[in-house]
Amino acid sequence: MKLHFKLFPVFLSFAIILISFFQCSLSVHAKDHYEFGSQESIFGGKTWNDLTTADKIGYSTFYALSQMKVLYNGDFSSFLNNRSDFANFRDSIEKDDGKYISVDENGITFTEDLTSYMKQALIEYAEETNGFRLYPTIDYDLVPASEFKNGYDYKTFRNLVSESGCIIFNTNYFNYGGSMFYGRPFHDIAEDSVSLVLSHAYSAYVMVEAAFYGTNTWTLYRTMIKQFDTRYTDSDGYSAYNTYTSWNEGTVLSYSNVYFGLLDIRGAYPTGSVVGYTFFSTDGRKMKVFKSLNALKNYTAGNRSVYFGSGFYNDPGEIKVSFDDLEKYLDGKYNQFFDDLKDLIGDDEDSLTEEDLEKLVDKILDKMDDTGGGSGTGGDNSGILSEILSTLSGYFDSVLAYLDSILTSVQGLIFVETVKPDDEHMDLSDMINDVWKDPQNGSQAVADSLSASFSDIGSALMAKFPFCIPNDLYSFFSVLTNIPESRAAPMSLEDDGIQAYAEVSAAPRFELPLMIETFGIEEIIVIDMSDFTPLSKNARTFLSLIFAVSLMKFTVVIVGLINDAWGGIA
Amino acid sequence: MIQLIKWVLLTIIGLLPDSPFTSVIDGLSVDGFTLEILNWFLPLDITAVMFVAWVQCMVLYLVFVIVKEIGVKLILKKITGLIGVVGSFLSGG
Repeated sequence: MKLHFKLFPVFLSFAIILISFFQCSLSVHAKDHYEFGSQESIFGGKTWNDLTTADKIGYSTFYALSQMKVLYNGDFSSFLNNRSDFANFRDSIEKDDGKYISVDENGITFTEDLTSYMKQALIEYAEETNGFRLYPTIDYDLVPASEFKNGYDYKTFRNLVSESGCIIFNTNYFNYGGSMFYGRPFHDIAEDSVSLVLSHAYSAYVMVEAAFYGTNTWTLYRTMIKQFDTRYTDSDGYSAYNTYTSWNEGTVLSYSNVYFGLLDIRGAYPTGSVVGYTFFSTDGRKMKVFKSLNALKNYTAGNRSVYFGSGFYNDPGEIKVSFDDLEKYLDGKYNQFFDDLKDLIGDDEDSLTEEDLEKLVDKILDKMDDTGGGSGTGGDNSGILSEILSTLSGYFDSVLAYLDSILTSVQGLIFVETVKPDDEHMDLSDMINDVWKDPQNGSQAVADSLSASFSDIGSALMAKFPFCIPNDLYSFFSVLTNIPESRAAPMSLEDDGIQAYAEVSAAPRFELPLMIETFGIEEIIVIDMSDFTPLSKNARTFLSLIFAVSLMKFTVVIVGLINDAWGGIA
Repeated sequence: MIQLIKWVLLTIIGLLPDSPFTSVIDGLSVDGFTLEILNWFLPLDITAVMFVAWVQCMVLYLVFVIVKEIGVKLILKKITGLIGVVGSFLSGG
């Protein structure tokens, strides 16, 4: 027995080493001599030409969309596969005809056809999953004064856009001179935020028909159209001119339940041949136009799959990348950024404007460009996310600071009495009294109270040497028994930290890949330990018995030591 | 009174050094796959539960011995001493 106990740690150490050896995968790769046409081996040990068509499409999508400033979730690839023209796209890449991708000694070029294809697919994906399309409004600084008939019209236009931040203007009357027509959806909304919901059609460049709905109440809000007559006839019958400075100075022309207007996805001026009621703003902000009321409701529930950076609406053109840079991106954990972004945004998506979200996406992707994906950091994106987190924290801190200032101002008006809670533990006199009155229940109450009172002392003792030693031993064994719950059914759950397993169901299985490309060897050696299951059961049972007997024997020694140390102090 | 005793005990305990093992154990980790395989053959999980239960028993026994020695023996000694004093007083000594 004594011999077994001494040899146990030695045996355990050898077992760990042996198992660690089996766990290591063994792969053998023959070093090839690469020439042009079979580029550096960066794609999981393969060259670009050796990749499957699916992998080529995957890498292309991955890199091209990262350069087009957009973050999306993993369902996009399924969406891409289901597009009606995907077969042609795939066939072209499979034939290497150069329409979408061309490869030379400098790297890979993703052609304009590919970026356009990806962009259109992503816009459709966003519409389907996000439920809305972003329409940029037209920055009023882009509209030259020469568009207007006179300075009164131009100044009125500038004043009304500045006052509202974003306003609808009928562009038919740019050069009309005399009357101008503006619309505002928010005229009678006090406590609701508003989103546009499409009523008629979606297109990149069409007249859209949309209505304003409140996102809190789902109320349909009317749009008010006002007329501003910059030229009028005075009392003497002469023409006179006027410059308006405020929305309130206009004359109500009409109300409309449905807004008919123009939203140009390019967000640029001039808007082209199509004119009409158009959104103008002081900053070219983007507006979400939801495809349906249900899409708006889903969006408010936080189901969003695509986030655009500010550069997405620019023309991407063709994209070139060297093999080295592409490799860095492939190591850069790009796929994780979407989930990380969602985690960072959390439940505060409604608090962030589309511009805030664009900045976050830009910051992630710009950092990725700066660091070359993950070079030097092994693809660790924690630094980037920390910065983004600090940006978000700054935003919410400012909100909290505002709320705090309100509370501070209110603080002097309200007197809050601090009530000290009753001490839940009994004092000594209470204990004696309770035991005296009701020995049975009173003693139990006293025991409970004492236990609660001295639980802090027990916790403190467990952290102090030498009383910590049992707890440290317990913690050490906890490290060694941290097995997933799915591994087997627990036998005992009485202990807080350790689960005992009646039987370990699945036998270990090792797979050792053996690959030698030069000789065309590609095998996997499988070592299945299921044949040794009876040995496992027996070993676990008998080793448990040996351990139990050892503990019993050790108990005698410990009890003797305790009696020697404490047995005669009185 | 209870609070006072608690405060005194916590102050005394505070003088003791912190556990030198806690930080080391916190930094330990073993790969889950390795542990699964290890536990397939060696009953580390069962022995850990047994060991913890055994340690708890030993601690309880230690407390029992201390209470017995300090509480019971000391009180009995005082009572027997008091009986001796009373006895000698009654006997006229």
